[in-house]
Amino acid sequence: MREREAAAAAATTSQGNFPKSNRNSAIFVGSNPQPANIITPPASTLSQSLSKTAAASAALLAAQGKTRSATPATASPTTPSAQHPLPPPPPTTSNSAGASEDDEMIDPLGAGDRREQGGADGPERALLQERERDADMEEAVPENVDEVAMMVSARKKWKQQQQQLQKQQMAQGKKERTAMEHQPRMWRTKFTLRSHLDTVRSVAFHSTEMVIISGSEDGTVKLWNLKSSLDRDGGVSKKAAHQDIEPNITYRGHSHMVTSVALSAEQGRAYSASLDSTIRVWRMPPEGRETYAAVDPSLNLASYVGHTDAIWDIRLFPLPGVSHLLASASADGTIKIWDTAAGSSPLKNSWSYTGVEGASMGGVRHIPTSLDFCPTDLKKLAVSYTNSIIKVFDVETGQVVTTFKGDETYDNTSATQINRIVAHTTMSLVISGHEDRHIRFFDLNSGSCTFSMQAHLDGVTSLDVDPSGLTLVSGGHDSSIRLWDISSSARTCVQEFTGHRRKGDEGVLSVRYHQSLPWMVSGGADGIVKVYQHGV
Amino acid sequence: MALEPPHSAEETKVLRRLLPGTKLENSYQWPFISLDQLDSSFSLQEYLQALIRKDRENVGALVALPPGQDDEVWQYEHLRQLCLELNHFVVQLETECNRETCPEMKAEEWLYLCAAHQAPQSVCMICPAQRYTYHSNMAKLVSCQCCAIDYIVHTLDGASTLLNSNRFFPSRISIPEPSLKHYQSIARRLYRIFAHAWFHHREVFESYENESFLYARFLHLSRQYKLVSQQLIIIPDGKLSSTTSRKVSAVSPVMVASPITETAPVSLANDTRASE
Ligand SMILES: [Zn+2]
Ligand SMILES: [Zn+2]
Repeated sequence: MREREAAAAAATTSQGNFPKSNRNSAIFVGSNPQPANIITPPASTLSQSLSKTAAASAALLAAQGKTRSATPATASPTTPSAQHPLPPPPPTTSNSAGASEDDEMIDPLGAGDRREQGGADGPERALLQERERDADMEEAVPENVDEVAMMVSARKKWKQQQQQLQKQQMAQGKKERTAMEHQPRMWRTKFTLRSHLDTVRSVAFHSTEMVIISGSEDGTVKLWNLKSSLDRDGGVSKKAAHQDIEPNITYRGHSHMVTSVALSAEQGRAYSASLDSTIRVWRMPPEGRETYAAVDPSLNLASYVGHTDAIWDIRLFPLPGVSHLLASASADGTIKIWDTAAGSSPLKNSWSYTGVEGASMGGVRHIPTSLDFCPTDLKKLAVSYTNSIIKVFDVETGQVVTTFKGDETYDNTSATQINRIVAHTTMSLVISGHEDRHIRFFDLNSGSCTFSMQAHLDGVTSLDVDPSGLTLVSGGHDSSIRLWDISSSARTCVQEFTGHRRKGDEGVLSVRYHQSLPWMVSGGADGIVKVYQHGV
Repeated sequence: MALEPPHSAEETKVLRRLLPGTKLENSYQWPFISLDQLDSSFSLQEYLQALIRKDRENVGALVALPPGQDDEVWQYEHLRQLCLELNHFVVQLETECNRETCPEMKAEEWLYLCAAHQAPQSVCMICPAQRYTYHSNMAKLVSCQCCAIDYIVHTLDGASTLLNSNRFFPSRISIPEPSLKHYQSIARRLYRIFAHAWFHHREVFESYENESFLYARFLHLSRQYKLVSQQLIIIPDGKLSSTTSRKVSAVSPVMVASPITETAPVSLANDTRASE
C-alpha cells in the first residue's frame, strides 16, 4: 500500500505538472531529429478518410467566406480566422504526397495560420498522425498502438535544417539511435479496457488515483482500478500488459443508456446520468474488492429523480472542499442543481433557457447540451444549448449572467449545435466544441469569441483542458483525438491520433485528463476505454 | 441565414448519431439501413440492433442469418446483444431477488454453482447454515457459494469479459475455431438466469418478457444453433405468453438430446471457470 502511494507520488513529482520545458519538447517536434517519421508523407491512411470530407470542408469554407462578406456586421472582429481569405498551403516536407493531400491537410490546422498571417512569430506546427492500424493488429500488439507518423509543416529555414540533418544522419547511419535519444514527449496508449458491450459515452478519472469510471450505451457504469496494473515507476507493469483487465465493479441500475459519469474522490462516490432521466449515485467499493465478490446492494446509494427527459451531462462542483453540488443538463430543457451532501430532497434549484426568472413560457425551445462550472469564478456555471448559444448562470440564483454568441455558424439545425463545453482551469475562458467541427474560445467575462478554428474533420464531441491549463484535448466523430497548445495564440495542434473506431456515424465520445498524473482517458463508439500516458 | 451546412454533399443523409440534447423520443430515429449499406467495423451489431428496434417481437427474423454472413460471427453478435439486454433485466430482477429471498441459485429442483471463481464452489464445512455469507474468521473474505443474484451478476460479468476478451475473440469479422466452444457455455449459463427468474420471480420475468421478447429470442437462437441442450431447457414451452410462442413456432426440429454431462449426482450442475 505504502509502496503504491510512494510510486504515485514519484510519478506526480516527475511528470505530473507537465513542466513547460517538457511540453515544449513535445511541441517543438521539428527541432528533434525524427528522420524516420518526418519522411512519412501525411499518413496515407488519413488521406482516405480525408478525401471524403475534403470537398465538404472546402464547400463550408467557401460558404463561410461568402456569408461573412455578405454580412460583415455579424462577423466579430475577435474571430480573425474569418477575416482572411484562405491562406496558401503551409510549407510541407519536400517529399510530400502531392497537392491534393496538402490541401486536405490545411483544414484542421489552417485556422492557426490564418490568424497568424503576417505575424512575426508563427510558431512551428506539427501534426502527429497516428496511423490507423488494422484493428486486429492493434489488438494483438497493444504496446505499439502508437506507431506514429508525423507530418511537419514548419517554416522554411527550419525545414531546411531538418533535411540537412536528416541527410547527415542517413549518411552516418545513426538514424535510429538519434531518434531514440530525442523522442518527444507524447501521448501513447497504455491500456485498452474492454468490457462494455456498446458505445462508451462518458469517461472520468478519480482526482488523485489511477481509477477510471466509464458509462456506456449498454446501460452500465464500470469502475476500473488500474493501480495494481502499474509498476513502481508509474508505468504499465509487465503483467498488466499481457492480460485482459477487468473492471472492479459493474454498476447496473439505469434502465437506458448512460450518457455522462463523474467521480468524487472525497465522497468515495460515482455519479451517472442516463437517457432514463435519472441520476444515480454509487458508492465506490472498498479497496481490493474482487471483481466477482458478492453483490452489495448498499453500493447503490440513491437515485435523483426530477428531470423528465434524457439527461446528457452532469458535472461536479470542482472544489469538493467547498461544496458537493452537482449540475445536470437535460433534454427536458432544464438545468438542475443537486446538493449531493443533502440526505433527502437533494434538488436545490432548476431553471430553463431564460434562467429562473424567465419561467417556462411556451414550452421548451432550446435544450442544454453540456455544462461546466467555471474554476476561475466558482459562482458561474456555463451551459451550451442546441442553438449554439452559451449562457453563464449564477449557480446560487439561477439568473443569467452573460450570454455568448456561439452561433456564428448556426443554421437552425442540430448539424451546427454545440456538443460540449469546458471552462478553462486557470484562465477566464470557456471553450466550445461544435457539431460543425469548430472549436471556439470565449472570454468568460465579456462573452466575446476570441478565437475560432475548424478543429476536426467531423463533429467535435469532447473537450478537456489539462491541469496546467496549457493544453486542450479534443475528440471528434472523425475518430481522432487532437492535442492543442493553447498557451500560444496560434493554438497549434501538437499531436493527433486515432482514438476509437466508428460505429454508425460516431467516433470518439469522451476524453478527459487526469488531474494530477500524466494520464488521459477516452471512450468511444467502439465500446472501448483507452488510457494514455504522457511520456517518452 | 442561408448558410450552407457542413454536410452539404450528403445533406439528405441522416446521421446515425445521438447528439447531446436529443430527447428520448427522438433517439435512434434514423431510417433502417440494409446491411450492405453499413460500412463501419460494427455493421453486423448495428444491423442486429436496427432489426430489434424495428420489430423485436419477430424473433424468427432477428435470429435468421442475414444472407452472406458468417453464422459464427452472427451468433457472437447475438450473444453480446443478449448480455447487453440482460443488464436491464437484472436491474428488474434485483428489485426482488437478493441474498435473503434466494440464498441459492435454483430453478425448479436444479441448483447451480457459480463458475466465475477460481476454485469450484462447494458446500461450506465451516458454516453450513450460512454458507453464502462471508467467513468472519478468515483473513480474506471468501464467499463460499454465490446466492442467486450473485450467480446472475457474476455470470453476466463473466460473459461480458469473455466476449470482450482479446485472446478469445480478437476480431468481430471471424471467430477463432477454439473459441466457438464458449458459445455453449455462455448460453447455458445465461439460460439459467431466465430459468431462475421464471421459477422464482414469475412476475418480473413476464413483465420484462412481454416488452422485450428476450427469452423468446434467446430460445430461438439456442435452438437454431444448438447452443443449449434441449434437456437443460426447463421452462415449459407452453407456459410462455401466446404472443411469444407464436413467434417461436417456426423453430427448427428439436434436436436429439445429448447425454447430460454436467449434472452432478446430487443434481448439482457444476462448471469450471468460463475463461478456462
Ligand atoms: Zn431470485
Ligand atoms: Zn459467483
